[in-house]
Amino acid sequence: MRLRVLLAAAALLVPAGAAAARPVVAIQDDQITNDGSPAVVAARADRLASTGAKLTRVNVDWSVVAPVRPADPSNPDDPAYRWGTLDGPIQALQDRGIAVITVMFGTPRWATPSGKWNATPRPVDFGTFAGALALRYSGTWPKPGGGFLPRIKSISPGNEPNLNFWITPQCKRVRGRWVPASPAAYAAMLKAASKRIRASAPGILVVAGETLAGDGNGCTGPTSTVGTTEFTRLLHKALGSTRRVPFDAWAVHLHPVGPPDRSPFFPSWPTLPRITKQVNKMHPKGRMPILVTETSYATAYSAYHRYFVTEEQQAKWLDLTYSLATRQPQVEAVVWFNLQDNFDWPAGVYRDDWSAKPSLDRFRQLATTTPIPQKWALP
Amino acid sequence: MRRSIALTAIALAAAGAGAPLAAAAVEQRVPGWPRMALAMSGPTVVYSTAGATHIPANGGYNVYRTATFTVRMNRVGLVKGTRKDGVVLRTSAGTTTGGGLSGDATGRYVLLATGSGFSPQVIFCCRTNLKDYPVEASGRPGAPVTLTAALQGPVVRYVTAAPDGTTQLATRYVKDGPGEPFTRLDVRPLGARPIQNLIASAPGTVAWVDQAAPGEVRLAVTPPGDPTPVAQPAIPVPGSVLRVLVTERMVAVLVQVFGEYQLVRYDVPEWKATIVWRGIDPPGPVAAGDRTIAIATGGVVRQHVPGQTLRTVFRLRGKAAAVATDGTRIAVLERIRTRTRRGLVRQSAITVVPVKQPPAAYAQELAR
Repeated sequence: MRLRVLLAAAALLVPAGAAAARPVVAIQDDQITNDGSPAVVAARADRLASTGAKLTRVNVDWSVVAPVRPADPSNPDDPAYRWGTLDGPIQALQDRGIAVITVMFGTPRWATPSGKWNATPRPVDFGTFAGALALRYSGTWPKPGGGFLPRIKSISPGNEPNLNFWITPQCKRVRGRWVPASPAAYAAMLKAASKRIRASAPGILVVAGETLAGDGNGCTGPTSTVGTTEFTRLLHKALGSTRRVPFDAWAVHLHPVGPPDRSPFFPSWPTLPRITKQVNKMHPKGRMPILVTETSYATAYSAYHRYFVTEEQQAKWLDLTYSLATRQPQVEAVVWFNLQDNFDWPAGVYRDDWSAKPSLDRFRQLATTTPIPQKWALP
Repeated sequence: MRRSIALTAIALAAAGAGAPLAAAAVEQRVPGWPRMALAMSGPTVVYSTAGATHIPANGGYNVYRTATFTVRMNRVGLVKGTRKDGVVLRTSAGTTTGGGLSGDATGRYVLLATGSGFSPQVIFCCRTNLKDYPVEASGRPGAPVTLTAALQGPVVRYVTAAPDGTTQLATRYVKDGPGEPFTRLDVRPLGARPIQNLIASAPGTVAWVDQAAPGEVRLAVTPPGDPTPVAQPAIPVPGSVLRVLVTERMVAVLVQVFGEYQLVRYDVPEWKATIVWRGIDPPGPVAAGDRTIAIATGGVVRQHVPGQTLRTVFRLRGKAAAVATDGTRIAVLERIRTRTRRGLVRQSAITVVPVKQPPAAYAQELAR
């Protein structure tokens, strides 16, 4: 274990010159889709733009967009769809020069027998919705009143699929033993979504993974967490030997406990090369693009992470986070999660009253001085 | 279970004989002498421990934590093997303490997590869908600092002090049922400027010693369903107040009167003063619950209930670190040394004993 940590730390010491490019400095406002009022959306988009970020991540809650089963789910204009919580934010962000990557989650009641929000959906339903999402935000879908709806850069079909909070069950009982079930379920979801996204909008990238959590004691019941390494290995196995890998990049979430350069817990910056090495096996050229679509340091307690630091530490460690990311050549973007504090995730660069934390200045300096490659920029 | 019942029976027999209870009672042991807090909530004892984990990697760093646990009680003591995990707070901001714990009759509780480098965090435990939830957790410099917190039915009430000294009573709704949004918050001015650490709260009541009037205890009550505190007549106290305790039906103060320490209680509705204990040296930990006071002093823990003098309920083997009571039982946290194969090791032991034979009137109240 110690050797692994040392090797990982050594990997971090690769000279900065070895990096291909500095990763995009991005930030997410996880509340921008929670209030449909145009004034609130515009104000939040203004705040996000004020950070200097040119790339952001937007949540797509399938259960909110499709609360009832559409008659023609592949048609984004089916009257059952409620795109209001997405159209406004994505347009507002594009108007401010900010490109959007998206992440899907939330199973509608109609899409699963259990009616649970985190239930594993039928792949065909999930894939069809992913196709409709891609088509609507392909840049070619007509906007009511003229023109076209914005174009998004990528879709992640599923968030943290190795955690029961997002996908259940995680494990199933086979011959008296609990074994991981989520990798195979996610593989089916990913394949179905990828097929429909690529058919609907070939320019939109499919991002897989979005994994979190370390490698624990394995399955002990249906709600156990499947460790990131195990999940990735089993996903690879479940995908089998396909002619074309059903995704274009791999996303991970890093919320370290301790300084970013020293935290030995998995996953963390020092241990990221372990994940990279594993997902590279799924890339035809052995070099999978990596997106860190969530990283943060909270400055207050929250039940979801239970670890926090001072605002000064947050600012310092935000700087260090992006410095470390630069030394990981396959990391193309790092999304700070999130813009503003809330009870669930108080890791914003803004406090809940919109006053600025010290980290805002650091973030803005990084975002405004880091070039954004065309791959992740607005057209 | 059978073993715990047997032990309890022994404890009861010992109590009848007037012998020390501690040897027979079921205990909850905690390694070492960490900073801790203790409370009772419904059928459980709640305790917290503070500590640090040194992560040796790459130069090393510390992660500080405060964790809470519950242990079930029966009528007369702890139930063996029923410990459950609760809140786990981890931080690199600075060292943590055991914080403050406040329960109610349901088994839920509030942790007021404190330490260096961060504002007190008010954490409610537990919702149905999550184990715990932050009620007030601002890390902002200059943010109002929470002084005390308590549950009252479906709400957490807590008092905050702004940097300019003004205080507010905040009411946060914690029910997570349909139509009752968890995050609803009502904030009202309290009009208090308490002397540091001389403020306490219980379900529906806040008591404090104000800088403007150090010779009295001020009270505000909050009727259920109403976020506005209602001021009550102040209670004059006989000396310099060192500690304030409050329950729904009683206020108690530890005061220094010339060269003497006194523990004085004031019971509703007349708020008549009763001197519970007096001594030349300050007592150990003191707690109040319902109409019972527990006080650790002189190697024993004593109880005081209306109409009785102090009675010994527990003989300490070590030093008392905390006591708690819900009116019918008393919990004791003591620091002990235990002989093991590795020599003497430090441990913390929590024991629960029943309140002894309350007078008839009070016994009837307890039975209700």
